[in-house]
Amino acid sequence: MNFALFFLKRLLRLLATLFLISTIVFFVIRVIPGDPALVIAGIDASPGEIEAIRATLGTDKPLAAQYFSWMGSLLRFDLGESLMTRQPVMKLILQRLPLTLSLAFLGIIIGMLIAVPLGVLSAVKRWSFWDYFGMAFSQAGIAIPSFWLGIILLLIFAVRIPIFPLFGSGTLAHLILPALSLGFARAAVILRITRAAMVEELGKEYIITARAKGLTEKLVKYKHALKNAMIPVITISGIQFGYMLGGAIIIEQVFSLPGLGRLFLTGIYQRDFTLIQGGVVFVAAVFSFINFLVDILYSLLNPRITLE
Amino acid sequence: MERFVELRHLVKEFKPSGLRRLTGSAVRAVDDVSLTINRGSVFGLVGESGCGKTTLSRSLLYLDPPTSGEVVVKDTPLHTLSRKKLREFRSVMQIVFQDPNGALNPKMNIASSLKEGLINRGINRRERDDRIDDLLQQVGIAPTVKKRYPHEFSGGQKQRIVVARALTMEPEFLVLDEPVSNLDVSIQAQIINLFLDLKETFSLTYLFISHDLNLVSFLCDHIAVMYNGRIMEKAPAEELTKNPLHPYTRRLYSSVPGIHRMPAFSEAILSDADQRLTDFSQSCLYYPICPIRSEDCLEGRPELEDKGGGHYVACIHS
Amino acid sequence: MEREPILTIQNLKVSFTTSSGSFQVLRGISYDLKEGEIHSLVGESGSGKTVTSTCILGLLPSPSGHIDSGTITYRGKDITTLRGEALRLLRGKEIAMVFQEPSRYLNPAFRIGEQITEMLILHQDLKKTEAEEKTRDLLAQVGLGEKKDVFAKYPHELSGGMKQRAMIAMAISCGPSVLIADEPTTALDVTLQLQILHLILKLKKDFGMGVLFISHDLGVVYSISDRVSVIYAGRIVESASRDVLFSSPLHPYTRMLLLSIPDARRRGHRLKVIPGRVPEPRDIPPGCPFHPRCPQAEELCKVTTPETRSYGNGHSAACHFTEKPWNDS
Repeated sequence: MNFALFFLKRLLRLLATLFLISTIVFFVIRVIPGDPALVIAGIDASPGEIEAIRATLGTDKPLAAQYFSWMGSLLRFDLGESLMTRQPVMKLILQRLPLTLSLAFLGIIIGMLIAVPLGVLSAVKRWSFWDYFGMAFSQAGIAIPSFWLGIILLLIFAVRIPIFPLFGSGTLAHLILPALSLGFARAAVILRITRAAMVEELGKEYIITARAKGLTEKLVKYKHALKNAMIPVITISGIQFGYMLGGAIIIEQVFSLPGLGRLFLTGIYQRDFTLIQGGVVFVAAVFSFINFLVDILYSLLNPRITLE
Repeated sequence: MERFVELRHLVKEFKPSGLRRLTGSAVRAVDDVSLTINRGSVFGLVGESGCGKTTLSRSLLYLDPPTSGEVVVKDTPLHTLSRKKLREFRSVMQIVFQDPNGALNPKMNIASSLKEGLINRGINRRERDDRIDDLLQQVGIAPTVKKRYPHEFSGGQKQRIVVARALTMEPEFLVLDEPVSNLDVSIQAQIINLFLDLKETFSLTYLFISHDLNLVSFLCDHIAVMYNGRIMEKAPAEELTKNPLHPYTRRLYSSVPGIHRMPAFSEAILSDADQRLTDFSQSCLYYPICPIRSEDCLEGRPELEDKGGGHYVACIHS
Repeated sequence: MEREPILTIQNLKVSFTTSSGSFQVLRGISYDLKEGEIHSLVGESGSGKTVTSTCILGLLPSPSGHIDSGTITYRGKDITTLRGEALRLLRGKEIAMVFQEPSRYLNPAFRIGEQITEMLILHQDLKKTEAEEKTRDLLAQVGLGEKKDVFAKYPHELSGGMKQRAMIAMAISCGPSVLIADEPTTALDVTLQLQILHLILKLKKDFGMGVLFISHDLGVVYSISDRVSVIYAGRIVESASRDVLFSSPLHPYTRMLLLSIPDARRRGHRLKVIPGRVPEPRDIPPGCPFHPRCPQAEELCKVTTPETRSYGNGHSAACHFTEKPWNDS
C-alpha cells in the first residue's frame, strides 16, 4: 500500500471519529434525564425564560431536526453561542487557543529536550551515573504533581529569585515556568520509553551488521539505532501532547493564564451548556487530529507501517 | 486400501482486510485441491514457502474451514457434522508444528502439558500418570524428567514432547508440518526414526508437510507437489523420484544441493515487459518462470491428468 | 605452488562469562583460508561454528564473550588484539560478513541504497553521488538490476532472496579479501538457495575473495566448498578438501553425519542416527568429546583427548582410531 492510500485511510478514520464524537456529545446532552433548559434556568425561572433557553438550545424542535442542525453547524465550524456571554463559542475558543497550544507545545518541546538526550545517554551508557540520574529523574517526574511543581517553581523563580513574572501573560517569559511544570512529568514518561527503545534497538541483529560494516560507533548508535528507537518515542510524545491539553487546565489556574482551561472551567461553574458542549467537541477533535498527525509522522519514520 | 482422508475440490480464500476489501479480490491460498490419503500411509506435501501447504493442512483439520469443497474423514464429510461431533472427530487428527517452542506452554511442566488432553478425555488420575510415563518413554524421554519445564530441554527433545502430547489424544492421523526443519542434521534423523517407529506402534497415518524433497522422497509413500495453491503433480513417491514430469517438480529436485551433485542453475523468467503484456488470468500458474512454456499454456489452467500408475500431472507439455 | 593463506586462525579459545559461570565455546580451533578459496565450517548448533565467525571481527557479544588465547592472523598481522579505529577499518573493508536472516540483519528504517552508500562513503572516501552510482552497479552485479529499483526500497519491500542479495551486495561493496557467510541460505527456499550459492561462487571467481562458509547443511557444503572442516564441541575434528572429506571421511562423527542424510533409495528403512546430541559448552565430556555418541569408542577415548593428526594432502582428523575398520551398519 502506498503512502497516499494510507493517508486517505487515516483521514477517513479521523473523519469517522469526529462524526462519532459529535453524535455522542449531542445525544449525551439530550438523553440525560431532565430538560437542560430547566437545569440551566434554575428553580425560580418563569416558563417564558425556560422557553427562551429552549429556543437558544434548540431543544424545542424535534430530535431529528435538532441533530441535523447541530451537525450542519458543526460542518460550518459553528459551535453555537455561549449562554452566558452570548458570543459564538468558536470565537471564545479561538481567542484562548493560541495560549494553551503554545503552552502545550512548549511543554512537549521542553519534555523531549530533557528526555530524549537523557534517555539515549542512559541506554548507551547503561548503569553509569547518567543512567541512575535518568532513573531518579523519571521517578521524580512521575511522582511529583505538576500543579505542586508549578507552585514551587513560582516560589523559587518568580518570588525568591525574580527571573520570571509571577502572573500575567503575553510573552514567552510568562510561558516558561508553566511549560516546564507541564513538561516535567511528560519528560519522565518519554525518558523511560526512549531508554527502553534504545536498549532494545541496540540489541538487535542489524546493529551487528552495522558494526561488521565498519561503521563508527557514532553512526551505529546515533544513526542506525536511534532512528528505529525514535519510532515509539514519537508515538508516545504525540499521545502525551494530547494529555497536555487536559493538564493545561490546572496549570493555567495555578499561573492564572487565560487559556482554554480557564475558559472551560468558567463554563462549568456557570453551567454554560453550549460552551461545555462545544469545548468537549473541540478538545476531542484536537486530540483526534493530533493522533492523526502522529500516525502520519510514524509512517514516515517507520516504512513498514504503511504495509499493514 | 482404506481411504482415511479425502479432499474434494478444496478451496480456501482469504479476503483482504480494511479498505482493500473494496478494491482487492480475495486471495486463493488453496485452489481446487483434491487428494486422498490412505490409512497407514505417509503422504508428503511439498512446496516452497507461501505455496499454501500450511493453509491446506489447517483447512483439512477444520481449524480454518475451507471456503468451498469437502473434507471427508473416514467417509464422513466434516461439514455435515455438528460442532460437538466435529470436536470429537478432530481429536483423531492432531498436528505437530515446526517450532516446538511455540507449541509448549513455558510456564507448565511437561507432565502438566501432557495431562490436559487426558483430563479432557476423562481419564482418571492413576491411569493418567501411567499413560504419561508410557508416552514419554515411547518418544524417548525418560519419565523421571517429567516435572521439568520446556526451557530445560533441547529443541529435539521438545519436539519429542510435542509429539507425546499429540499422542495423548490417541489420534489416528497426524499432520506433521515441517516438524524437523528447525533441527540439526543428526537430531533430524532421530526424530524421523521416531515418526517411523510411532507409525508402527500406534498404526498412524501421516500427512508430512515439508520443503525438503530429499526427506519427503525418503519418508513418504505418496507425494503431492504444490505451487501457488495448486497441486502440480502427485504420484507414488518412487515413481515421482524416478520420473518427475512437471517442470516445477524437476526444478525442485534439481535445486536441492545433494552430495556429489551441484545442481546447475537455469531460469526462464519472463522479462518485465513480457510480464506486463501477458494476460495471466487464465494461464498456467507456473508460466512466468517455466522453461518449457508455450503460447498454449496461456489458454487455461491445466487440470491434473492421469499418466498411469497413479501419476497425475497438471502440465500440457508433459 | 601452495597459495599463502590470507586468514589464519591458530589455537583459538573463546569463552563466555554469564551470571551462571564461565564456559569455553571454542576450545582450540585452528584453520586457514586462502585467496579464492571457499572453506566451509560444518557443525550442528552448539558446536561453536557461529562464534568462530563473529570473533574474527571482534563482534562477540559484549561484555560476556572474550578471546582467551590463540591468534587470528590476517595478511600476516595478528588482529586478535585490535580495538577501536584499527578494528573498524578492517571491518567491511577487508573482511565482510553475510548473515543467516537478512530480514533481521538489515536495518528496517533505512532504504537499501542508503545502507550500502554509507559504507562506501566511509571506507572509500567517495562523494555521495559517486557512492550512489557505485551502489547501483553493485546491486546490478548481484542480480538486482536498476529496473527493479531496489536502491530506493526498504528491506520489508523485498523478498527473502532479494534481501540476501542486497546483503551480499553490501558485503562486497568495498572489495573485501575475505567474506564470512554464516548460514546465508538457511532461511531461503531451495530454488532461492541455489541462486545465492551460484552468486557466491561467481563472486569468488570474479573477485578472488576467500569465503568462509558456515553451514549445517552437508548438501549445500558439498555444492560450494573447496575445503571442509567439521566442527564438534568447539574443536575441528576433521578437515580435508571437499572431495576427500565426502568420499573418504576418517572421523566417526563425519562418517555418521554423512550417513544420517535421508536417501530416497532407502525408503522404508530407518535412518542411521547419531545417538544423543551435541554437548552443552558447560558440560563437555572428558577425553574425546564425541566418545559418548561414538560406536567405535574405547577406554582410551574416555580419558585422552585425541590430537589432530595429518593424513597427507591437507587431510587431518582428531580421532584415536582412524585406522580401525569402519562398519557402516
